[in-house]
Amino acid sequence: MEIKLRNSKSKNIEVKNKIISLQETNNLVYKHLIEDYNPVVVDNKNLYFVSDTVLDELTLINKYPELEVLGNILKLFGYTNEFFDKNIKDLSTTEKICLNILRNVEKAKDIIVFNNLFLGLDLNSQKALVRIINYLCEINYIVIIRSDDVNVLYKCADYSILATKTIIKYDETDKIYTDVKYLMKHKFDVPTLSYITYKAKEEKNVRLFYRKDVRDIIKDIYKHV
Amino acid sequence: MGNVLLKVDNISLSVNSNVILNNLSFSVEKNSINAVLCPNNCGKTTLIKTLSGITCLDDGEITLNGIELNKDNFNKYILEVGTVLEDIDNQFICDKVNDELKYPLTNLGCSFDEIQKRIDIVSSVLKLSLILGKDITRLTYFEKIKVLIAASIVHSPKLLLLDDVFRFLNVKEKKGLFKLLKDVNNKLSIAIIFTTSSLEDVLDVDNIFVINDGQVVMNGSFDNIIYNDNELSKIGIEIPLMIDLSRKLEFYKLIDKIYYDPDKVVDKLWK
Repeated sequence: MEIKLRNSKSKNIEVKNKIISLQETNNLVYKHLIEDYNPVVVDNKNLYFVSDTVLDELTLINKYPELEVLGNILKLFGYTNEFFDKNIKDLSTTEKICLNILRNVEKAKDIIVFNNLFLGLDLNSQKALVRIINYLCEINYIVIIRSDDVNVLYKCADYSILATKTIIKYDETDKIYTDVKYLMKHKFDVPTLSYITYKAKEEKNVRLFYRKDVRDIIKDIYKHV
Repeated sequence: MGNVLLKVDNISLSVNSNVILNNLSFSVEKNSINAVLCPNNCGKTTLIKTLSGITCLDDGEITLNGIELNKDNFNKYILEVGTVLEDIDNQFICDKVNDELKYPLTNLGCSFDEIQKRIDIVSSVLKLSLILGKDITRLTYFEKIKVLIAASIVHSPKLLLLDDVFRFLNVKEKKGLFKLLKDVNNKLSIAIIFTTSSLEDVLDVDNIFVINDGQVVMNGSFDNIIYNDNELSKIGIEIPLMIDLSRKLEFYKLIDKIYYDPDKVVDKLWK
């Protein structure tokens, strides 16, 4: 599938089974994305439900919910199919977040935006969320993630978009978030590990490689100190 | 013992045959800021509801400022505590901020002057003066939290309970809210207990209770518990990136303490 973001003159973004991150200095591109493609936006702030049980809530959106897909998502979150029969009033907040994802996947056609979804999740839930995002890509959804934490974008996304008033860069995440000079020049957030590597290279003349994992960068640092 | 405000003694609670709190015990000192740190689905909301008297215990005792939580003392107990639950939008009673703050005091039978005096105090501490006349539906998420905190402390309780209020705030808002909580603690002498699943929220508190499987598994200041980073990771608490990096560099004796600033780490490593 190809999505064309209206505010860009020449950027047709061809995406397939990929996770895309969007970082912008204002929300113009996001606004146009919503207007043009009407994607489902999942965030954690609207955890309101109208039905008694999980299954009731899901059948409210789609009379015949895709229980196989939803069951797979549940499994990735660490829950069993018994979750469908639970009373919504008995759900914990994390379970409500899970239900919110399920009902939004039910609604989604092809594009799902995960808006700051990692906020307030513990380590295990974050890992589960990454598995769910990857699964959604596997079954042909386009997943766009937005986050205030650039480290999340750097770690999770395959491709990244940087936008000011228009899209100024679209490339593989590794290329985007290792060009620290460019990020700083255009006032974008820089991932912490990329920043440390950049500083070490530029100011201390140390040959470090750009890494996404703390353990990898530790090995490099150990060699060069 | 004289400085203990809240004493939680061997409390247990099960919901639908799931054990949520399992002989949980801890105590909180007067005028202190305390954090309950635990992974998701570990009973943060249940604990706050239990401490505020909303949920009944299966077993154990809770004593706040010398008042034991039971049927006889319930009315006295709830005057000593203010609570903000996680579901922010469902906790408002009135349409306007000013009315929301007046509501608990009117119920307590306070005079007009007394009501105005107390509202002035909390609104100056929580910096609400500019939004007092506003409609609650027009407030931002952050402002709504501030109003709920104000409404829950306007009757001058001794303890403020906050259930995961930092959860959906961005970094800047979190810092702002924590600063306001410090002011509430210092200027109004109210002890605070808040729950969270993020280590970044508990950097500056007096005492942290790490809870897993319904029990306190660690207890102490941030400097004490951070040196158990492996155990924290095991129970599902995410170690913030700079702390994780610092701890690992410390392990290899490359640095000597935790640095929160990447520039300082680089300068320390390659002088």
